[in-house]
Amino acid sequence: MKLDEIENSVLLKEIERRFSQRDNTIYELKVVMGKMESINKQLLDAESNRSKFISIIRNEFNNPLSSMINLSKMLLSGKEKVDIKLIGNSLYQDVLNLNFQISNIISVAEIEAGTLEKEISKINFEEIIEEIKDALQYLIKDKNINLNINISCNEDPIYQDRSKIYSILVNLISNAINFSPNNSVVEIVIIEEVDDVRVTVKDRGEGISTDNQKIVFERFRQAHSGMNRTQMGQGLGMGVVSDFIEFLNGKFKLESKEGEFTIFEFNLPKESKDESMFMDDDLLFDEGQEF
Amino acid sequence: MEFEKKFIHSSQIYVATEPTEIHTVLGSCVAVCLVDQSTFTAGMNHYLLPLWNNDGIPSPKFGNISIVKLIEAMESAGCQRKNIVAKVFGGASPSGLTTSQVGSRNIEIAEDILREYDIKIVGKDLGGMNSRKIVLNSVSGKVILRYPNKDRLNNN
Repeated sequence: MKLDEIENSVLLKEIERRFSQRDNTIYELKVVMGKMESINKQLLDAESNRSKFISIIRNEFNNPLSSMINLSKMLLSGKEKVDIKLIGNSLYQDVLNLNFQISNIISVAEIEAGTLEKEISKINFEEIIEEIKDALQYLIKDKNINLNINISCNEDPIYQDRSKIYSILVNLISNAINFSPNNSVVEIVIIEEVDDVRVTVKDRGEGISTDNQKIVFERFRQAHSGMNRTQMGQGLGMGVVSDFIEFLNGKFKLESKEGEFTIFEFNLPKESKDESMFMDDDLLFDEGQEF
Repeated sequence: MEFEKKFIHSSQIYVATEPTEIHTVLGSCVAVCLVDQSTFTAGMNHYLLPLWNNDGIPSPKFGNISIVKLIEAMESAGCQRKNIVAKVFGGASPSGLTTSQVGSRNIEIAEDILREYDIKIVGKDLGGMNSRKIVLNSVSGKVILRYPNKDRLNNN
């Protein structure tokens, strides 16, 4: 068919079709561009998180490390009459602080790698609280905090993951103390219920506004962040708390009134002694199919 | 042969290089089992949600994180990608929860990622309304799947 034999209306239709095709292509390109922009933003966020992490580590590890180096040098020199007890105290304080920070970093790494394991064992809450008191002794002494502890458990042993409960509690309690005014009370209530254990940590600190209640569980965030943040820490603690509670199939909630109090409450189910229960319940299932 | 028993929960990944039976129980969660018969290595994951939305920790709670980590873990255990085959289970939509499509989205992400990594799905039992219990034998590479028996459950 020659070009001049084609009717105008057919030509017009073809042109129209091509125009609409072009419009569609432009629209699709716009959508793809939008997606790429949002991916780019995510990459930038990830990059800024990474550099934030490095700068936080630099700040918070350098100080205790250099103080530890100097203190141990002093002990080694042996020239002047040094107060060994005083130096030992400072060293211990620095080591405890570093240990706290590093264990949070390791926890986050484990959560990310998916290598978390449930290690169920007998739980003695009194023992865990004593351990926490020991780890946080300098913080408690510094701010003259009165820890009001109330544990009511039955005689039957409770089985759960001890090290994760320790991490959850030490983070919650150190947070509560950090954000409390001096000479105040931090309340810790542990109650055993029928199927689970309920733990409440309450401080009379500055509180968290409703807007900020969501971000406290994000990594590298503190509700009171920015240049004038007063608290130490990488902002990993609450993320670890929420992930561990979720991992142990628990539930948590945060209640707070600005300028008055913050209550963090969580429930953890009581586990059975071991997982053999899971293994030997084949009776409750149909015949197996093989794949 | 002595088999070690390993029970995995959601957000966990486990790769067995020794003779192991890996157990898990699934509802709307999905478990991807990867098997390499040339090295008698097998791995399983168990994830809750399909996609990590860049919010919070990129944990293996999410399919797109968990499956990739499982593949990496198989490879670092000495498996070659071309020898690995996959079996996928779970993704049920329990009755009464028809609004949530978590189950089917969990299935989709598994199929997408395995296709992307060129790993063939040689066995599957997906969707439906019932929960499942699966046991992966790391030596034979076989998976035994059981559905709960409603009569026996109700009698207890």
